[in-house]
Amino acid sequence: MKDVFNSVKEKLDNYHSPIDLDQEWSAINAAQRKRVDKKRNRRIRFYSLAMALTLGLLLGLWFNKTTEGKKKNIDIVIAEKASSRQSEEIDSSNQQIEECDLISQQDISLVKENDQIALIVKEISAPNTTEIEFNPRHQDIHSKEKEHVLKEKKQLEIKTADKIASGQNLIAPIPRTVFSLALNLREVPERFASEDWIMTNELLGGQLIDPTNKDRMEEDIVANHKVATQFFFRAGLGYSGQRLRAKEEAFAAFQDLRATTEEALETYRFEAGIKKQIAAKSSIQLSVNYQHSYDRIQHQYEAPKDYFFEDVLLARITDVGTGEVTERFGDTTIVGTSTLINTQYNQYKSLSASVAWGHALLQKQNLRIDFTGGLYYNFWLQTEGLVVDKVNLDGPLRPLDDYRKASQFGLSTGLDLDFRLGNDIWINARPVGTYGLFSATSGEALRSNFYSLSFMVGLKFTL
Amino acid sequence: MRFFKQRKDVDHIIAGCRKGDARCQELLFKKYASLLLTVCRRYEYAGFGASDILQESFLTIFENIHRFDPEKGHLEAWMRKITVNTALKAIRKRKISFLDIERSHFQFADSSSEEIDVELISEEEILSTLQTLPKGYRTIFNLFVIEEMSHQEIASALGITVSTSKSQLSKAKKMLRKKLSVKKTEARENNRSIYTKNYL
Repeated sequence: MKDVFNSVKEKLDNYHSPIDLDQEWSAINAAQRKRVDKKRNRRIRFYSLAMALTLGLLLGLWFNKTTEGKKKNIDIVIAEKASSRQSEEIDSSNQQIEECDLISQQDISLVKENDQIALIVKEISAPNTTEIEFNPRHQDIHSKEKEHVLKEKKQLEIKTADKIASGQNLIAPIPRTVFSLALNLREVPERFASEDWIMTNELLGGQLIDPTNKDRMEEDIVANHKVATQFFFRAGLGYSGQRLRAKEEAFAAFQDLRATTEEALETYRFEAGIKKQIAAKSSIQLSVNYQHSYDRIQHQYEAPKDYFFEDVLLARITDVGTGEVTERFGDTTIVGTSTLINTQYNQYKSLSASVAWGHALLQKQNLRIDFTGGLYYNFWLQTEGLVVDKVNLDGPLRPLDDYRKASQFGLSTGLDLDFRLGNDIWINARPVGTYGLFSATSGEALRSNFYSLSFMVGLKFTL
Repeated sequence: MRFFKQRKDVDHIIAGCRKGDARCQELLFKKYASLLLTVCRRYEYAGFGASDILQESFLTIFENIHRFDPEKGHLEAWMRKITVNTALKAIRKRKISFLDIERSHFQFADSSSEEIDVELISEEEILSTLQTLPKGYRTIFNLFVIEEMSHQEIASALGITVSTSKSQLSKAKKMLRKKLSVKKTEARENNRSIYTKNYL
């Protein structure tokens, strides 16, 4: 006799239970409609969110562009800080005159009238000398015209006679004085007269003593879709900057450069493209990217600044016996150093085409994670710079062609995470990093590789 | 000829369902609903009735019909599998206990020697007897005997150990055998009374 349970199986396998087909079908129909409506509402909510996000990004870009030009972050740099005692003297013009005796009362009022910043007087180690560091911010300070003005006003009076002890050599060494003269903000080099963003044909070059940016590479994982071809678009935020390096021989060429710092600022990215499955776990992506990024570079230079004065009072010689005073006039040169600081905001816009290969790391029904790596080519580039503190641009300048070469080709890598929303639609999240293959001054002493890191969100559709 | 015609009809219905044709979906439902309802009735319990399992199963079938490959299997088997999976999903969601029911008052009398002629027992009676088994016994019995899954597969599907699956099955069989033998006796008594009534 057959096993009882096999018999039970046979009987139940082929049994048609009694059912009210119409009633059950109505219930299923209603449930199906409800489910479709729920999915549609979810899609509407998602599209609305995506549109709001994109709109927010675009608005942010627009605001940034319109307000950036108005930003005026003036960095007034004094190379070395004055001591507190000296600062007090600055406030009191009487004491100033007494102490340094270098500028007349008239000149101080002139300084104030012209909206210049007050002098900073710094005391250096030698007790009998007062040295003030000259920190011109304007290249005109070195012009002949300015020197002539100084000479005319006879601004320098060096009362070295007061410091000569009796019995000593009457021709005392001239105290070395270096003084700071405030920057007249209105007198700027013509090419930076505008406070708005301007096109520059050159970028500030510079040399880093130490690399300031670490390499960061992230791997993208691109969802490996089982369907043949997908279309995607995404947008994201991140930051981008330059990795600056220098060869040793570069120091010889740029001896004046003390330091350069580069600060990576925000980046906006927009991307659209297609993805095609080429094997079980492999895919290829072709896309077009628009990237808008900012960075800030600051260079500090040290340069010798000699100031030549004609026909100024050099010494008062007093004859001890007769009491006769003789004044000696002549030419003198004051040797000093200056520190120049230049801060520049740069913005870069680029359109690039990229190709990337993707390998699936995880494939589930509703989740896919792929790794991608590829190349990009910037076929359109634009750069703008805004000099913030209007310092003398005595640094080496990088030609635009050189920047183009640095930015043109690069590597990109990242992760692609896809979450299924429906049969043909996926949400895509993508952390991605790019790195310029060539440096801005390849072949020479300086190296500057552009990089970026961003996080993008978007949608993928099956075609 | 009839077989090929039927096959063609089914292919046509599947193609229509893939396009989301409501009429084809209705045809598919009406063709297989009663068969699948039997499957649902084997797994139903108080919190989730056979009708609910059937509804959920067909919604899943319509959403995933594009994944069915006729080269790899029969449509009925594929739909049956979806129905069983839907039932199991509900069971897992409601966290039905599969621990040994030591508290059971049922006496597992040794009725293995008794022969049971299942032919005398109707399908409805078998189903109703099955529904009297505790949920855990019933599920494992269904999966092992009727769905022909291995203990390993059952353990994995329900999140239990293989030994629990084996022990529950053994107890399920004993309990079912006892209940079916009672049914058989009742059936024989019914037949005798009918014979007596008609012929005596």
